[in-house]
Amino acid sequence: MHIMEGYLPIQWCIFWYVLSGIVWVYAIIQLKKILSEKPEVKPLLAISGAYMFILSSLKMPSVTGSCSHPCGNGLGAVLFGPAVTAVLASIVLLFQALLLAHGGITTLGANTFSMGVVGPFFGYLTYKALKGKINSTYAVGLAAVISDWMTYVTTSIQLTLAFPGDNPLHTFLAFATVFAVTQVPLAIAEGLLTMVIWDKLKELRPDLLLKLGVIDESEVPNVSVVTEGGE
Amino acid sequence: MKYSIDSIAFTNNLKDVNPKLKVLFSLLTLLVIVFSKSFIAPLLVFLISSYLIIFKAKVPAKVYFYLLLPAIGFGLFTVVFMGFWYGSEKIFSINLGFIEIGFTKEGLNQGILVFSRMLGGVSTMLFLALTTPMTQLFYVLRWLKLPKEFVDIAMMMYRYIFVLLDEFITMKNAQETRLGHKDIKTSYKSLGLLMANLFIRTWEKGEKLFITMSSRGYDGEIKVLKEIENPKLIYVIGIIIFEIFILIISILTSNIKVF
Repeated sequence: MHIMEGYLPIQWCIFWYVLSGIVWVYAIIQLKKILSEKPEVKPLLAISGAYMFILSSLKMPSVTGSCSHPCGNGLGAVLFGPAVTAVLASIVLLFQALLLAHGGITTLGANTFSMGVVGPFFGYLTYKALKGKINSTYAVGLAAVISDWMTYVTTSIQLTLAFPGDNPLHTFLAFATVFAVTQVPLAIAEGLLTMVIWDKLKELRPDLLLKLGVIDESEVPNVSVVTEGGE
Repeated sequence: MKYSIDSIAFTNNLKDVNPKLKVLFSLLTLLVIVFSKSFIAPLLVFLISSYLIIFKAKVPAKVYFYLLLPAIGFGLFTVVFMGFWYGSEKIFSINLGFIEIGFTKEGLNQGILVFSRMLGGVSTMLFLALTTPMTQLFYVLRWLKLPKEFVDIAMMMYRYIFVLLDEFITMKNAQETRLGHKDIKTSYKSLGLLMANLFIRTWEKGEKLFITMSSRGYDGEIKVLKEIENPKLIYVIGIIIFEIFILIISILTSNIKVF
């Protein structure tokens, strides 16, 4: 859920910029550490960011006939971890503002916090908690759903803080209900899509997932055959 | 729509104006708008930005209004929602027997303020997006001393968005000619298949890109020679005077309300 340009008053713009700024600086330090050890991941990360952009601007067929956009940050968090996802998401959101006119520049801080920090973090936690216990496809699907829902809960909190009204709790419920109409089915749709993507990835290139350290070898017993097979 | 903002940014009439000036103008104006407690100043900014976009940059008015539509739609919804939700002093209300629905003065005023801010903000953001090529913005980001890793990744990402988009469209067309999107169930299957394949392509491209760059002397940082010269001081002063003017208007009119 993007908060549109100009929606938040100035003090909340600054507040969310500072908050996501702290996470962002931490993530950049992590990223620098990774890049100084392995310079070859820089182009890879850039292209993965481009992939996240395509995924998040994808039109998903939904039940009502209207089209909606997935977030794509759940999959990102599972594949690359929450710190890298935060940096990639901040760039993706900047591009969405400047190339598609989604979101905004003053609200970039708030949007990064909900879509790049909180959502992926909970998605990552979900995946970590379920990893090895159930089939990784279901774990990823669930991570995508949870990360979507947490994103929209965070957005509701952000809007409530900016416009609390007489009773903040009621206002929060009102915002959450308005979003729930579109976000609850949308998150489930994104979870399903992520599951299909993951299934295919596991079938076609399990070596990539093993390299990233996101699945165990027990899940893909015949992996060595696939890797050596080549193209 | 995906190509159009980007292609307009490279072809409009203001593309040669110093990007530092455009960034300065947009950022300061956005700050003034979100600071404003009056709905008049953001509306004034909206008119000025629209004038600059349509008559100075010569962006087709149709494209510009199409891009504004979400802001208008969401803004109207906000006015209704806030008028219904906030405050207690009702202007008019309908009694439905069991529940009373009405609009409050405070809520409507707040809704109109947010609506005007959104119009002003989105038009100013569109001014930046429609008149400044992304490649020039990267120089500004670099000049602003943002971390090198961030700008490098952003630059490569921008380039690869369009490469991947081309691949995406090719694969989608291939699927559609084979009835891959005939109903919702097959659509999901095809879309998942497509994105999984795109991820694999992405990965292979990433590895190839590293080899390409290494063979041309890449050692962990991308070196850029071009610098953007600083704008003339008179223009900077002009922009600052304009912002102060808008700021004064927003303070003077902060007590004017619609209801």
